[in-house]
Amino acid sequence: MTDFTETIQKYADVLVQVGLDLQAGQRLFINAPLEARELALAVTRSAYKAGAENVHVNWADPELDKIRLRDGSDEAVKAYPDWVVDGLLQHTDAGHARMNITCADPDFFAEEDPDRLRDMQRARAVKFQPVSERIVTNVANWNIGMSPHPAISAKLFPELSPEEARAKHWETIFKMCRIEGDDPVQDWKDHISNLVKRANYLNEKQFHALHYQSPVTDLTIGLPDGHLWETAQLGMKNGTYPVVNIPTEEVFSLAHRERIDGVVKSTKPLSWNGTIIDNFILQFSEGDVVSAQAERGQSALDTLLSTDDGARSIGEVALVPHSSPISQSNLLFFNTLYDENASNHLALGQAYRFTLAGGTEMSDEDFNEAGGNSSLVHVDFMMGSGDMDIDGITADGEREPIFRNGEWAFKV
Amino acid sequence: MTSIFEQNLKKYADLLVKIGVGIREGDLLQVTATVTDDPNIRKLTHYVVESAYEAGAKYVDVVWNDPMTTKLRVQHAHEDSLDYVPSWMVKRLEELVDSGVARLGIGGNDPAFFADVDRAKVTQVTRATRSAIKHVIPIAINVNKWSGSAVPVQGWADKVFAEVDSPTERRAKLWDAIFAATRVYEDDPVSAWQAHIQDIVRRRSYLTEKQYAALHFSGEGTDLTVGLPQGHLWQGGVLEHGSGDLFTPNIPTEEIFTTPHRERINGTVKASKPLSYQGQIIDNFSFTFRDGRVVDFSAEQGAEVIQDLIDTDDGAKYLGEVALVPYSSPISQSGILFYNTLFDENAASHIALGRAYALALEGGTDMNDEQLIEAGANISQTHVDFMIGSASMNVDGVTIDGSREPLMHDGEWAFEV
Repeated sequence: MTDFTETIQKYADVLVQVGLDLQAGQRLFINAPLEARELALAVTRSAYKAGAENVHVNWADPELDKIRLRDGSDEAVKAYPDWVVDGLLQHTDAGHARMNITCADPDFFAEEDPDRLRDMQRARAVKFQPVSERIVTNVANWNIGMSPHPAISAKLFPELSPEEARAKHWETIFKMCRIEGDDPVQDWKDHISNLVKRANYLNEKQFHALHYQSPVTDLTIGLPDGHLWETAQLGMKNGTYPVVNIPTEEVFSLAHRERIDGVVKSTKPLSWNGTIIDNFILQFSEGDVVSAQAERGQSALDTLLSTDDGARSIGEVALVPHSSPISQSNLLFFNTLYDENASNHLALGQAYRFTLAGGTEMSDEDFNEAGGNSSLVHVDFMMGSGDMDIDGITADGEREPIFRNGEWAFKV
Repeated sequence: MTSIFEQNLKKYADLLVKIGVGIREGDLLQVTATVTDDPNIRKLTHYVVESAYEAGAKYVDVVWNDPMTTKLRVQHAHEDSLDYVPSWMVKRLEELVDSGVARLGIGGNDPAFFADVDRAKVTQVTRATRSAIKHVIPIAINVNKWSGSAVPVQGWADKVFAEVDSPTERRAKLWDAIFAATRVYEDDPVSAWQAHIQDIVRRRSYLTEKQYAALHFSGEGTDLTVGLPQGHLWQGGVLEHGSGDLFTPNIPTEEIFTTPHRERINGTVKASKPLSYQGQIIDNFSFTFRDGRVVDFSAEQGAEVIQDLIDTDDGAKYLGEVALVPYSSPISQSGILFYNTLFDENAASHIALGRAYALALEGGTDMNDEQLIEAGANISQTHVDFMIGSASMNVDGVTIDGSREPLMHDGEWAFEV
């Protein structure tokens, strides 16, 4: 085997054994575009090695959507056959594992007729509603993996030939996903166990607030009573514990929507709705953004903040050390799976209900009353840096170091 | 600006859609396409989808099949699990077939793809799928329109052009051979095919009307009389859909064929091209028939393979098909052995040992095996074509009163239609 074949197989092993927590005897359904063939086949191989009973790859060809938009009748554009969703539901309801391989050109539909595109996407969204419901309720193990799309490889490495850019993109993915050691599966188990220990530590502490300090940021974020720190490892109703995102570096919780004060400056560009917002400063008072200034993308930032009331407050607080591989790469991947693991970040908008004790059972009002934020949007932005310190502040006002110089400052 | 190759690919796609599966306004089309590393196969599929929408298709569904996932399954999955077929997959086909879907296959056959895995497991998987969809197949092929095609997967190109060094070059040569064989290089391939099919239809009607008692083949090493049963029907080229639409299940197709009378074949016939049978080559071979049955054979290469073949069952010693193909046909002219029946059986006039086609006999599709034998049509588990036509082959039609009319002279049609 060549080095590449060996490494991609290790990556697939991590996705299957850690990412999916695939059980012997389970069936696996993979959604993959044709551009991701080598990864989909590697995952298929890994899944059988892990004892899968059956692996079905549902190949997608995004080009066909484009052809349909351009050459199909209105009826063809709005058509979405039932069996696609039937298939997914059958698999999910039977407790089969599911993997999505993301590998898309962010500008793929840029030149298409927006009305037809909307019709097509709406038809799909309507049919997919029952599938989405099952995903958020954690019925069966799932995971998202990434394969390099030529369009993103070209954006990341514009100076290289397509072949070289692809090779470099793969190399980057392997580095970001910690696939370089002799036993990446074990490395991942250690990594996740470390993240879980940190989450447990923070949960026991139940800090009243976090105080972020760097030369450009001085921000205090209140944490609600009963807040829960989580990792990307989720418990499923079928008894599995998949790590739904790979890579993942974050330990995250929710902010108290009314106790955020001070100033924060972004440290990485934010790609939102096809626009880049860069070098922006947000001033908070009692939980609301009271001033927002961006060097680039001001109007997009204003649009984002005016989505609804909740868009002006914070829903998620995530801790990521500056030394993490994605942070070190200094690349913008145009894909949340990677970009949100680049540094300490906050999300404007909706909080995750499972980051508050009892949150998934609460009414909207009770959730807001407890400090949880609600909004139509949830937009992560990076604000961590190598010179950031974070203190935890207890209910009686004592301070404990959480981060020093961009790194975890407590032992677990 | 598209390259010449892409233009040819597009013309091939147009043929498959307009002539092959015969797409009309409002049709539903399901394309089953093979996933490979060759971007041209994906491009051909895109051209097919475009062409179908241009022809007014209501919706085009593409199922991508990656033979590699089947291979991985056979290699790694537990034996007990190989019978599993997801029910939604069956439902997908049921829904489409019930809505009258036309089906087009875009695939290539790599003869050695499964050579390194357990054949029995491959058969188990294929059989499970077949059995899960067997209730819709009669509708899919007898009621709805369908067509197949062939594209150069690497393993196939490697076999056909073994003497060429570069694997990419082998695929390029096979594309070229396919384009030549399917008349893609004509100025207007769709019109060329319409004319070609018209010619086939006229010739088969002429021959069916004539109701010759026998055909007589003479050429180098060949002096063979093939009796034809009463009510034999000449077939070839197109099938007619319930709606009256014509479609062409095989592109390319050159042959006009019917069923011989299994007991009225006498004389000697010499093959004009090598035969690839179950991965082995039989070359320079002859058969002698008496009252329909093989009584002697010889071969420079593969005599033992012939023995295996005719020992399959009793019917394997009799003929089940006789087909006429002019020597000037594109596949014949290429001189290439494609190791693929779709092409090779259109290379020359040929006959087949084994089972006859019931549709080549009046009322044949309603007959059981005994009735077919009674009517003169052969029954067997096997059906193996081999080429006998050449540039020096003459074929006469022999009427009931024994007079002879020339059908082919020096390998070409000798009657006007």
